[in-house]
Amino acid sequence: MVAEREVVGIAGVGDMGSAIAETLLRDGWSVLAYDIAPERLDRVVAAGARAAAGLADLAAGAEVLAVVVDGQDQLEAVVDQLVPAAAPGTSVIVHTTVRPAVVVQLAAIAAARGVHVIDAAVGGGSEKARIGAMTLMIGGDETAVESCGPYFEALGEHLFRLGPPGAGMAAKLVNNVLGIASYAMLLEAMQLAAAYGMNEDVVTSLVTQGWGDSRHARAWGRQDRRRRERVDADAQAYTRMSRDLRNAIGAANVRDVQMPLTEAAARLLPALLQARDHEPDRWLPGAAAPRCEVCGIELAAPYRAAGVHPECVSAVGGERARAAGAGRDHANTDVDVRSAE
Amino acid sequence: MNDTVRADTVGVVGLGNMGGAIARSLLRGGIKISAWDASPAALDRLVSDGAAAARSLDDLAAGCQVIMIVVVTDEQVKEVAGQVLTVAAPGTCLVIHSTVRPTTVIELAQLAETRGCAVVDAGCGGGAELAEQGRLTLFIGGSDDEVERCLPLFEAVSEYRFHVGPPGAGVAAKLVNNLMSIGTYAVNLEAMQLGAAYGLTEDVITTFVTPRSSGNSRGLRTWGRHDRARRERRAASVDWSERMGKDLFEAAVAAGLRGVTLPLTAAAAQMLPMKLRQRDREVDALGPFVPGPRCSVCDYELAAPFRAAGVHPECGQVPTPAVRGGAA
Repeated sequence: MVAEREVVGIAGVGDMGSAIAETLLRDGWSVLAYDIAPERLDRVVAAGARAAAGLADLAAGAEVLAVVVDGQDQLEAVVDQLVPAAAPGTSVIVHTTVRPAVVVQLAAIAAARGVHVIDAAVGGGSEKARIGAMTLMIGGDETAVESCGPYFEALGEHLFRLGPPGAGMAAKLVNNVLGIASYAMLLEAMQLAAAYGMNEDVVTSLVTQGWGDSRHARAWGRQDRRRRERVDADAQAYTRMSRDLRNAIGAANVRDVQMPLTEAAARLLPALLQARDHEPDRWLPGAAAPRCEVCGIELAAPYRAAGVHPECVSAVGGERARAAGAGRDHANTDVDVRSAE
Repeated sequence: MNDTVRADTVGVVGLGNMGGAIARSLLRGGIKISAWDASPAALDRLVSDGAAAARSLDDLAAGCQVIMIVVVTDEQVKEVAGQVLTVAAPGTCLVIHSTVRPTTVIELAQLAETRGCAVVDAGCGGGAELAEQGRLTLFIGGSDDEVERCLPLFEAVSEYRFHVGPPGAGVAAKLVNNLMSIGTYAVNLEAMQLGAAYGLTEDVITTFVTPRSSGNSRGLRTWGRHDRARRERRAASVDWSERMGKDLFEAAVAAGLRGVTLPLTAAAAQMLPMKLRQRDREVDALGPFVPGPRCSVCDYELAAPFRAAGVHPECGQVPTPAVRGGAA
C-alpha cells in the first residue's frame, strides 16, 4: 500500500511529464524526476522536484513510477531499465500512448519480478494535467490500481478503471479516433465552407445548434494554436495525429477489425494540417480566439459573449479554484466499469 | 420595407411535401400567396388552404416581387428560375429553398443580376414536418438587403435562421452541417468497432468521452439514434443506408465545383453504405432491438452518461437565439 504523498518517480518531464510533476508538487507530493534532456530536468528541479542520476536511481528511490516518454520505443527502453532496479511491489504507471499489446507484454515481463505495470492513458492534454483535471483511462491489476488511488486522484478529474492491463490504452485509442479522425472531417468541412465564402465563426455558430455540434466546433481554433505553439520546435507537428491514428489501426488489425476511413484520415492529415497552416491569413495578429474562463481553451463564436463553453458552466467554481492552486474542492468522477458490470 | 413584402402577394412554385408545408406556414402567418405547380391536384389542395392559384408560371412571375422556389432537382430549379427571370419585373427576388448545388444558386444569381433581380438561397434543415409547423432551420445565402427584405417570410416558416454569406452559401452551409454530422458519424462507427474488439461497450465509450474531450459530439450524446432511425425506415421498406453516403457525396461535389478536393469526405461517402449495412447486421445479431431511453426535451436517444438525468446537457439549456452571421 502506497501511503498518500510518498515519493513519485517520473521518467520523462517534457510537456506532459512536467505538468504532472507540477500538479503533484503543488499537492504536497515528493517528486523524483529523470529525463535525458538536462534542460527539461532543470526546469522541474526549479519547480521543486529532485533529480535522479539515472533510471536505476529513479526506480530505487520511489514506490510509484510514472513513465511519460514519447512513443513505444522510448517506453520499452525505459521500462526495461526501471523494472530490474525497482523493489517488488512497485507500480510502473504508463502514461505514454501505445497499443494495448505493448502494455500487456510489459506487464507480463514485470510481473515475473513482482512489479506491476498499470496503463493510465491520458485525456485532456498537458493543459488539464497542469491543473489536476486530467481524464485517466486505467487498466491494470485491481489491487495495484487501488494502491495507486491517491496518485490518480491527485491528477485526474475523471478516472475510468476499465479492466486488465491494456484496457486503458484501448480506451485512449478509441478516444483518439473519435477526436482526431473527426477533426480531419471538420478540416474538410471548413474547406467546403471557405469555398463558398463562409467564415469559420459563422460555421461554428450554425453547426453547434444542430447535428454537427461537437467539442471541436465549440473549441474551434484550439488545434491551430497548439500547432502554432509547437511547429518550430516539433518535427512531428504535422505527423503526430497520424501516428496516433495508426496506433489505433494497428490495434484494430491485430483483432481482425479494419478501419479504412481512419486509415484515409491518417494518410491525409499531414497535408490537411499543412494546407490549413499555409493559408496566408491564418496567423494574423488578433486572429486568436478568446479562451474559456474555465477550461482555458478557445471559445468558438457562439460562446464568446458568455466567456465560457456550455459544457464548462457546471464546472465553474471548482476548476477555477483548482487552476488557482487551491487544491481539490470537488469530487472526482471515478468510474469503475468492472464493478459496474 | 418589411411591411411592403408582407402586404404583397408572395409567389410559391412547387407544392410538394416541402413546398406545400412552407406555403401553409406562410398562409398561417397572414401572408397572401400566389401558387403554381405543374400538378393541378397539388395546386387545388393549396387553394383550399387559402392560396390563390396562378394561371401560369409567367402569370405568377409577373405579379409577385418575392418568389419562393421549392421544386426538387437542380434541373427543375434552373428551368423555373430561368422562366421566371424572363418575365419578372426588375427588383424581383427569387428565394431558392430546394437543396441544389451551391453553384446552381451562384449561376442563377449572376443571371438574375443581369435582369436587375436577385437570388437568395435558403437551405432547409428539418424536413416537411417541421416546415408544416413553421419550425425549420434556414441556412441563408444572399445580400444583406435582400435577406432583410425576405426576413418576415423566413420568420413565418422557421425557428432558427443563419444568414451565412453570399448567394450559394446557404445551401453550402447545409452541406457543411451534413458533412460535420455524417462524416463524424462514419468515424464514430469505426471507433466503436475498435472499442468492441477490446471489450469496451458503447455505454462505456460514451461515458469516458467526457464533455470536454475532443471526440465529444451531439452524435455521441445521442448515440443509438441512427440505429433506431434506420430500423424504423427499414420497417417502412425504406433503405436509408445509401442516403447518408449521398449527402456526403454532394458535399464533396460542391467543393469540387469550386476547385477544392475533399478526399476524406469522398472516401467516407463511398464507404458509408457498406458500413451502415454492416452495422445493421451487427445490431440485428444482438437479438430483438430494444430502443434506448430518450431525452425528455428533444426526444432523441440518451447516451449512457445522461440516462439518470433523463435529458441531454444541451437540452437543459436555453437555446442560443438565431444568429445572424452577415455576408462574407
